Amino acid sequence: MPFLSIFIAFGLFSLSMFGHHRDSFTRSPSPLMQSMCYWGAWCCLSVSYYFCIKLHQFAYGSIFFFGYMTAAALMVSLILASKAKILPLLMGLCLILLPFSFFY
Amino acid sequence: MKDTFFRSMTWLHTWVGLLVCWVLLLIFYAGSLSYFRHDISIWTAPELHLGVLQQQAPQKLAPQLDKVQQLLQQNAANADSWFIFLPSSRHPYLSYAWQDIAPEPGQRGRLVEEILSVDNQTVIKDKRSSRGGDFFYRLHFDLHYLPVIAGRWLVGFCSMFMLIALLSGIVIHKRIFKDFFSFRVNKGPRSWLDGHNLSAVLALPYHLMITFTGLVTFMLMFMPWGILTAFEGKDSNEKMRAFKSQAASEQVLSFEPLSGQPISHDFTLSQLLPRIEQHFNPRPIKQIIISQPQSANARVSVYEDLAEEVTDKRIPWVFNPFNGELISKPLDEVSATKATHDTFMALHTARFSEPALRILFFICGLMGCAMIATGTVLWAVKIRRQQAKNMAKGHKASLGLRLVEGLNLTFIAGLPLGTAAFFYANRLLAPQLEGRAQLEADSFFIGLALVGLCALISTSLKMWRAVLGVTALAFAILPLFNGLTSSQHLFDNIATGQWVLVGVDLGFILSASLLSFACFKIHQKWEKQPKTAPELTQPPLSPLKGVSH
Repeated sequence: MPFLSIFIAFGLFSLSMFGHHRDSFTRSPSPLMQSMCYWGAWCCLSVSYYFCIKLHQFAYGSIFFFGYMTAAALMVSLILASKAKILPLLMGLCLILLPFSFFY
Repeated sequence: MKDTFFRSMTWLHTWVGLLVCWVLLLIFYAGSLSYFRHDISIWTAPELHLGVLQQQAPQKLAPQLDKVQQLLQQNAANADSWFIFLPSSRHPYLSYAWQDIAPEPGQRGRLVEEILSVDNQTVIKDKRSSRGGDFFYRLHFDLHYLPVIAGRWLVGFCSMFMLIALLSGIVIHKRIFKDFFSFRVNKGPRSWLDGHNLSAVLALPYHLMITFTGLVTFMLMFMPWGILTAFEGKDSNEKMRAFKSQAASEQVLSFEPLSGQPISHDFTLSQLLPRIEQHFNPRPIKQIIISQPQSANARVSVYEDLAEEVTDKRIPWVFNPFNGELISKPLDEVSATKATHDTFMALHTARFSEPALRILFFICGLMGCAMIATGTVLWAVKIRRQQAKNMAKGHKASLGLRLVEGLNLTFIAGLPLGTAAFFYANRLLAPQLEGRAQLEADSFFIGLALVGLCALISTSLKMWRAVLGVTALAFAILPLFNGLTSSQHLFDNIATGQWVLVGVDLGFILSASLLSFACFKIHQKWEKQPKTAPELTQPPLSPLKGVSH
């Protein structure tokens, strides 16, 4: 579950950037959209960290959180470099899978 | 020094990185593989693949301890110590060992380890001699052929350089957040710079942590002066022992014995089990050591499996085996200094981590390798660009450039080939061959040296493609080779749930896929090159565009 939300968070961070947003949606982001993506990303990260700690205790959960962040950011970067247009779709898929991951 | 702070930092970053990058690559590579040290060790012992691997089951503990004690009494009645290693997630089999009495004071007696089958009936005696994952683990900080102390000083020196390179890299990377996700493919040198920045920035917390904690690991060797001043002893070794003894005693809570000396020298470990479990519940037991097992002073030291606790503390619970009295136990609270040190050690070794977290650590380790490799390739590209005009006039590339390009090919492509050679040697060398463990290690370096020879011939794209192609093929065949040379193949292991072996085989397949992809990309690049003689000697990157941080 935390990995999915961290992936969404980094996806939102990238979409808050002008160049990456244009690569994914073929149009420039409005300032409001950029702000929403940026703050939405921070919210997702905060929620993910909370769940990492809840699932694995503070120390272990924090280490997991950093590991997930690296893996998720790497995935987002590679997707942006190869198929930027599928990033929003993958983020949507993660959003759909997120509630199911609670049962895992 | 340069005229501005930024330029000074750039100079520092370039040179501290370049001077030690190939040794660092070896250290990072071996360290990354060490996260799967035990998994590799099991893969390299095919005698353990059938009917040996198991998880700890509380109901089986008593019969297992009875059997092991019986075997130890038969085989090692006069030993100095007995060791029992119970199945755990990283050591998924039951084994026991004994250490003979030291021939002379200050020395250690011979240590013999044997492994028991799942049904506790068969001792696996014909296990081949192999260092397995321990080879990569020791290579990570001992560098194998070097004397241990010299190797560790060299590793420490390289780690210090790495830390300086990381900090100066942070200073000179002006667009650390703006370029956070930037990876522009097929853009020549720019792509290598992006790859270098990406692999460094995305795993930056890991890189800083692993470098700093790596230095902490050897801190007593690098900075022993405090201990040498504060502790008494004839020489530095004795002073160090005095320090360690005091440090250990400060972490232990001892109890006064309630009863007198035992009448009999006999004890049964399984009878002690309820007393141990009473203290340990619900944590499993990891290891039991019985010191002086045949004397009235026998002591049973029991180590708990700390599972996911982020600490490296290894203080046992000590019991009197004759009456079950608890003699000493680890303190619940240790000093902040000790706790910090334990946490740093745990973070570096990641012994606490379960497989998912170890995979994440491994990915971060590989990103460290990628950061070093892309950095050194980038340097070669910049220098080749500077020398392009001279080379166009027919001059040869400078010695420094040729050296760097050769070492790049040797280490970046040679390390995976050496690893594949190590695994092939593990299966091809006769199991009872004298010195086979060393021959396996030698095969790793022979693989590396062969690529070095190739680099002497050429560092062209064709050579890169050939070396990576051979390595990819070698890794792709390894799971099949495992099936042919052990009792179980990949699908058997999946069917029987031997996930450790499945994981290693899948790792080989993944490595083969990644190397094939790299080989394919190089082939594409080579195809695009005009087929004239000078270009065929070009490095894997065409020196075209400007590169700067």
